[in-house]
Amino acid sequence: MDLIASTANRLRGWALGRPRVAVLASPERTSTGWRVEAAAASRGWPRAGSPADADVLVVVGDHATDLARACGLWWHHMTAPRSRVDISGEADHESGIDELLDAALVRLRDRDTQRAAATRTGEAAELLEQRRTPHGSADDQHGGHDVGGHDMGGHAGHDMGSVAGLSMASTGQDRDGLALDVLVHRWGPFLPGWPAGLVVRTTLSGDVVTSAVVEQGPSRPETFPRPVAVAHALVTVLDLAGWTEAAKVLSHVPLARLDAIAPTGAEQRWLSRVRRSRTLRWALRDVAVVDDQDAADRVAQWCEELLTGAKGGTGQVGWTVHPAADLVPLVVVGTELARARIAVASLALSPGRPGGTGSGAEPHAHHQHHHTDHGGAS
Amino acid sequence: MTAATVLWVVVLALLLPILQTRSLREPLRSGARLLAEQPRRLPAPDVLLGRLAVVLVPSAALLALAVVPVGFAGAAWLSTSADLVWFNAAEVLLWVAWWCAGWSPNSVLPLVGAYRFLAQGLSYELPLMFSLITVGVAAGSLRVSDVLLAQQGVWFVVVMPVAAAVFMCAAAAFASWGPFAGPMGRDLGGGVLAETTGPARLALSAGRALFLGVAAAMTATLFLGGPAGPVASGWWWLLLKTVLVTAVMVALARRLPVLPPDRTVDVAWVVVLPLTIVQALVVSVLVLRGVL
Repeated sequence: MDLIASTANRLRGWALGRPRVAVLASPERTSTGWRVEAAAASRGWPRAGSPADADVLVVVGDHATDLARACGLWWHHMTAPRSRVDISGEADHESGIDELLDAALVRLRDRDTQRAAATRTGEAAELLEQRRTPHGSADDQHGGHDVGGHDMGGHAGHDMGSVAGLSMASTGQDRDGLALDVLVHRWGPFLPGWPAGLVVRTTLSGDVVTSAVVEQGPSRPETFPRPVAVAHALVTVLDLAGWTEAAKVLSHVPLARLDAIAPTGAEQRWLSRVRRSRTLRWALRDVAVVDDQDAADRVAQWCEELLTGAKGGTGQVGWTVHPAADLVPLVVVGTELARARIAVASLALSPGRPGGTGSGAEPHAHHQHHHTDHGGAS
Repeated sequence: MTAATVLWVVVLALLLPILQTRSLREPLRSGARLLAEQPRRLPAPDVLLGRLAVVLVPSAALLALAVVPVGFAGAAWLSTSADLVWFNAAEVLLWVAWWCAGWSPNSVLPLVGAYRFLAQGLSYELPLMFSLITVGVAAGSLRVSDVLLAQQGVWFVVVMPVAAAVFMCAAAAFASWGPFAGPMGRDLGGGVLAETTGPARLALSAGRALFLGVAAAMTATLFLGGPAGPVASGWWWLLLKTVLVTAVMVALARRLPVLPPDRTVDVAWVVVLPLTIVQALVVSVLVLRGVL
């Protein structure tokens, strides 16, 4: 029996040896977040795409209450076995991060801890209970930080009945005038490939964004030399555009640039491949047109910059990896969801103000509703 | 089901993940990890349809495999009078399966992933049917065994390259993989799979990997002569060709971003569909003139 038990335990340990990791870094600790991601990647730990996908959660930064609550929700949505690491102090240096990840893996593999966590029933029921509230307040109860996103309904005034305490999705006219379910979805503040701290509430008919409101901007985003910010924006767009291989090869360019390391031969090859790619150009064409430039133009320009530009952090200091918040609704409304995500990522590079206040919007400062004129529909 | 079929199921399910991760161990480890993971349920899910999807994806892959000649003697597990239609029907089950998988968690992102799959289906389904029809026309039969006989002279990939290419692309599309991974895209946090964990996710992912392997074996069968080889024909040739087809798919996928489903639909209807029709026409003329 001991043999069976120990074998099962070893198998379990092996199975959990490469956990999927999600790093939630507050806007002012972005680079520490990158270091954690790089440390995880060098161990072969894949990045998680959603809370359901994640095994290890790394929270970086002393979060303000609302961001802390968002991290809590991520944690809440993760299933056992799971393990959480909080980096609040100065655990920046490599060895500190490695120790924390080691410890996370030990906790992840500890059978008793995980079993206790898994049998802690009623969490879902609790969440459900919170939502079993009069219509309209469901969103408020929910805190607005639901990354996993099952936030249906709650649309103005249409009472369609309810199921299990959740209001039903109401219907509204889509761009062709058909009555379609209206879904409400909040993006952020934490999501892979999303500017940390930004919260955008979108209304969807089908998979088309019909309105978008920036509810919260990052307060004091970290600023970087331009090549670093450019490299990060490029990797993010490639990742969201589904070019996994390119994103993977180029993923450590931002950090390397921060440490003034020139791109390697493989990275340069991929940069010129991305710049030349007709398929990518076609996929990004007409996405987020700002100043007569679309996402495809910006990506090509970034590749060019990284290929020809300065060797390291010699560029102008003071770029954030966040978009100007007032642009977001303009480029998102009327587009399909995928394109909306890419649109935001392709603008996530803006000059920050001296002192690091960045381009952050004041909460609830922007309320824009667009219902027609879907320019990017074809 | 024979021992041969069971072996093939294992090989075909692991082939693509192994080539993609370039590791023998990691695909097994990810599978084991999912087995150790807690299942997950959001408030008010559609349990019935969710379970249906979990059963349907691997079953559809097995049903498709039934008409691929993977026996040691070179025979399929099942031979009907309309094998090509059978394969098509098994693939169409994925429409239902992915939709149910996206619908059931009661969550926005999987639902949008499901919408995207339907949009993608509009792109690939008709070209796929025309490429299968072209194979049937050239062989004068819908039986896989007749298709193999008809390729004794020249492989179909030579006479119908468009149909072969379309079939491979359609395989990636119905499995929502590679450049056609939009319905399970990273921009949706995994889309159809965004909320699914544990054994259910394992069943969906493994079923999808198996279907891709089966489609690669079917590509080798319909267009590359199947188990026939220059010397010592046999199942090893089919295996070799299947590995090659899969390797080509993986290599192509590395070089491409995801094709946005709503833009792909334009290309599919304006360019690809007419091309497949012309391809069918050309092959029909060749058959009428007795060239094939």
